[in-house]
Amino acid sequence: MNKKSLNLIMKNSRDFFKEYPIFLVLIVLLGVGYFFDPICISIRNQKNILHDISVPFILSIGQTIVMLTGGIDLSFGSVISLAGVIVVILLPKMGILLSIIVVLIMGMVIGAINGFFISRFKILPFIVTLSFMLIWEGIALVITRTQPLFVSNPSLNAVNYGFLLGIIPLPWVYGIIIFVLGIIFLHFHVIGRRVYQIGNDEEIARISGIKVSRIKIGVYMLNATISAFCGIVVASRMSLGDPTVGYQFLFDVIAATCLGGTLMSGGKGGIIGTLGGIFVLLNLKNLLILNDVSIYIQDVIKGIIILVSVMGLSMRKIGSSSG
Amino acid sequence: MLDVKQENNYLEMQSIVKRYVTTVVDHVDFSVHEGEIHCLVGENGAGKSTLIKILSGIVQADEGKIFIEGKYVKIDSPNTAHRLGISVISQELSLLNELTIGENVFLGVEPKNSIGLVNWREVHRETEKQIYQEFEVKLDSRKVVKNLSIANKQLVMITGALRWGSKILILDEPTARLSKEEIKRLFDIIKNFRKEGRAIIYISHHLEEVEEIGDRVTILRDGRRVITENLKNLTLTDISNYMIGKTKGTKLSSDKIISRNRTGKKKLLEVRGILNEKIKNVDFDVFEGEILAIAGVTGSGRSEIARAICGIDHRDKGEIKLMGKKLKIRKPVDAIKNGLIYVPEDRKTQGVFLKIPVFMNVLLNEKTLEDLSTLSFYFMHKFKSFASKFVKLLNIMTPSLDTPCSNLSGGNQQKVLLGKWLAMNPAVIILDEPTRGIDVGVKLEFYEIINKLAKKQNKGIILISSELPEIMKLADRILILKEGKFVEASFKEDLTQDELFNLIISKR
Amino acid sequence: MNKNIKSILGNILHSYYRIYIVLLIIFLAGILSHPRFATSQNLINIARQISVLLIVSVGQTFVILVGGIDISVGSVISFISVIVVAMLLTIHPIFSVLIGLSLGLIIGAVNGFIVTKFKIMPFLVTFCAYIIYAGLALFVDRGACRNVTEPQFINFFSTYIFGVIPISIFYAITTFLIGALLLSRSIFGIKIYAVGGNKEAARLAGINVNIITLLAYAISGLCAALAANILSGILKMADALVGIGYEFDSIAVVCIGGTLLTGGEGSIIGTLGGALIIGVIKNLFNLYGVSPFVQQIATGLIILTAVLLAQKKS
Repeated sequence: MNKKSLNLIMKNSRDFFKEYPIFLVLIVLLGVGYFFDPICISIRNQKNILHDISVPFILSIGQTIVMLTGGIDLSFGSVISLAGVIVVILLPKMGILLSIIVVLIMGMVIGAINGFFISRFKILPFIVTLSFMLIWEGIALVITRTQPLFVSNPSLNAVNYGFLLGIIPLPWVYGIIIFVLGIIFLHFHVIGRRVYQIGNDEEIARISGIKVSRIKIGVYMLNATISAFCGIVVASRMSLGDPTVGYQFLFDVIAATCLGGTLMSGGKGGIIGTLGGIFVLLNLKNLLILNDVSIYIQDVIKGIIILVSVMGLSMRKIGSSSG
Repeated sequence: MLDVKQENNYLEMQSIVKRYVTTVVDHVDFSVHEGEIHCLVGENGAGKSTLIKILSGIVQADEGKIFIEGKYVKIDSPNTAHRLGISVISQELSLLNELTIGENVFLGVEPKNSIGLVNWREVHRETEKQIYQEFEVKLDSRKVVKNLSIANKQLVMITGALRWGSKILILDEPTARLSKEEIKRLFDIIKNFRKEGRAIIYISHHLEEVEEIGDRVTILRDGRRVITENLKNLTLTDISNYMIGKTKGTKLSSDKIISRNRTGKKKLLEVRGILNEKIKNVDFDVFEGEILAIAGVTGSGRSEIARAICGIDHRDKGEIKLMGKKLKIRKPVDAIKNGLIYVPEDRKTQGVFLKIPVFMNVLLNEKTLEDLSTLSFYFMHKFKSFASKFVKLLNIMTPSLDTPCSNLSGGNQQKVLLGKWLAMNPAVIILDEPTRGIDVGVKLEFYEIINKLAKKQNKGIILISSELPEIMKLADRILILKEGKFVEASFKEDLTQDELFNLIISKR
Repeated sequence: MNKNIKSILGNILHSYYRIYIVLLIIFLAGILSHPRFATSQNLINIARQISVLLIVSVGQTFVILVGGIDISVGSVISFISVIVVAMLLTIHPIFSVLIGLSLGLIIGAVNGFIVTKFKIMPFLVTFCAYIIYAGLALFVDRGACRNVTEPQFINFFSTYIFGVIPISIFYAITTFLIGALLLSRSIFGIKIYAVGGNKEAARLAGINVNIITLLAYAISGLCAALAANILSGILKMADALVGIGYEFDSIAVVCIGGTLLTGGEGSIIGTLGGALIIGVIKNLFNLYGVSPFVQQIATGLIILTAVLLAQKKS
């Protein structure tokens, strides 16, 4: 390896870390973890993490796209719960394929409702999705009378426990496919670019003839559909439809997206950063578990870390914009 | 300058009328040919910016018709204007900051394949090619717009307009923050556009620029079109005369000349060495009982000086003395507590609380609230009676003291703002364009009040204004801010308004 | 003085008659439809439940008026309940309560500090706080449910005046009156409306925007702490789940009351009306045996409707 290509690699790395500081955080985190417990960077341990990473990661991709337009979707957890419940109910009556299709359509409709309230009535996204978070979860709880619905169905099982070509776990496949599609969409497809353009300046986008309302509704539909899909995967994993299962993802997904550098005001960030964010979050959780930290304190620490990193990002922004 | 042929008008605006409180645009005809650089000129408030807003779809005219290529068009939104091929390059650099040059240039017209994937290579290649060919500038199209210089950002905006295919280009004060070479380059670009047959509207208060680049000029005054003429046939003096109209002979008021004798008058405010990123080392004094006018072209930094003195903007260096005492001003409340008040230009965003009742608005500042309260609480009747004094003094027209300020007219809102600052009993008041957008009757009331404040109450008034008749009427002394430094204008005893005008706009 | 009172009442009726008409309708519907609605026992129940909700909503009103929002109140209530009740075992009740109240104040102030100093969206800050204090509450209490037996404490928060009226109503009314006084007759109140209405203009007017915002959050924390104590007294127990739902309910109350989420507009009198409406609706739901989850759906719908109507008005 000659000097020239070495310099090139160094420059590209520097640019990469400058653009995505979250990966630096990841490296530091792993370093700290190694100090406490060398197991944490072992292959087996990382494999454990990868086992759990698919659903949060896929959800974060959807949330990233929503946040890039300057919005937010707090209702996705409830959509996961509702989707899981509905698919379990429909399964014996409609069979696996039809049930999945119905649930995905339900996701699209839910997303369209979100988008409609946000873009047509111009109500703040967080209050709209907050309200629907209560509504969809409430519906799920009412349908199931708060008890999870057990199911035993090999086709459903396969959704989470199946393998592609016999070796690759399907959840990884979903994750990789959605990640790749997400990258292509956001960076190469014209509608994905519209997402960034709207997030930067809605007015300028509108003047240029971009149909802002339609795209906004679209991203909420996309996120809800992705959430519904994840609901099916989660139901498959646990073999039951649990009306409150989605709640646990709320924090991790939003945290991962923010940590990854996607601004809540939109227009900047992306799913590569979100990938880093998810890894940091899950390694953090893993580290805390390995060190026997109570799960409650885990939440506390997660909350503090998110807060501190957002504060850090904000200081960076304040510092650079005062010029 | 080309000899402009009598071609058909590409753009024709007929008898445009726009009314707010006053008639801002009064039956104006305005047309531009293909391949013409048509300059639009007029003092502040003459109606230029409203006319342009109508053309770019931000505002709708009350009366009048617009035709493009002979066809009647209705420009009901900025979107429509854009579709019709009208692009505005203005001071607010409207670019998508976090995105690349290429993406900005191709916004809305990205080359894509059948499934919608953008051909980025083509985008960046074409962008760089176009920028190089048109402007002879090498820019990396993959760079993010945020970090470009202002001149380059302008180039990106222009390229975007060209790429879109805009035939009508409106350039609104484009040279404001450009260097000499950048201005020259811009002019070459504009001349190229003319060759390409585009219709260019060039707005500027720099009359030498207008003279250099324009084919025809339309001069507006008080909302009316005064004249449209080929620039070959006009001199600079002619233009400025048309801009200020019959009052070209007005001299300073005679009673002002008497009061300009300052011997025996105390120095109220002394400002030395104010320095921050926008102001370069400014010194001046204000005397007791005097109205000091600060004139200058838009963007010369007058408001910035006021904001720096009053602690609103950060200040790197500088000393401020009030009545001999050195003041430590770090934030707005410091200035207010010391009796140094700034009445902002933009009353909506900076001064008036629209949802809060009139009487409360008048009292809403740290100092007055403190003075009138008892142990941090207040009595409604005490508040209202205090406020009503100022409402009466300033003749504020309001249905009641409890009416929210949003229900008041612009002029009355401005009065409320003034009342608020007066309620603080300041020693020095800085008024920034106090009568902008206000009709004549209320304007005269304001002049009376300002005069009374200075002459009867011995306050020091700094009047930042772009309306020359206003300055001529009120000022004891006039300072002109040119490129960050002050030049005294009132050294001449019988200074006339057009002399003042020429002093302001001349480059030296 | 008489003229003053008349004008104040006139103002209230004029602006808030819609809310009170809705309240009246719902109340009448309740009386007419359910036999147990109008009993003194039930009305007392309503009053108690509204008391806690009203106190939290008063705090939330301050925060929303200043242009922010506080999603953490639910977790803060749980956290402080658990801590105070744990302290009651060894520390004198008066000190326990005072420590609890101070803790609420500090938590609120910390929230406000982070929002103003680092310019982070209030939603995100209080969302993190929500997670943090929920976790802390669970940690302190370790899933156990602690009973309150300390008589002084119970007496203080759960006794009856004249044998009939629960004391919590008294606390709620006092909190409401203090809040109303602050917002409508104090300089601090004026500044709150100013900061929420036009932050830049407030800054130019010399108002310390950061301090005012911080104080609004601190008040919310204090109200949450007070609510926590009363709740512990009423329920005679505390666990990490007692506060769940108060964040959404208080937001619903404030929205119904006509206070806009953008800040600077609204009144605490509307909040009172909102609390009464939500309280009566919840009571009717309970009387009819409506599951708490349907109630949750209703809360979501109510927030949505309230915000929609408020948006259409402006």
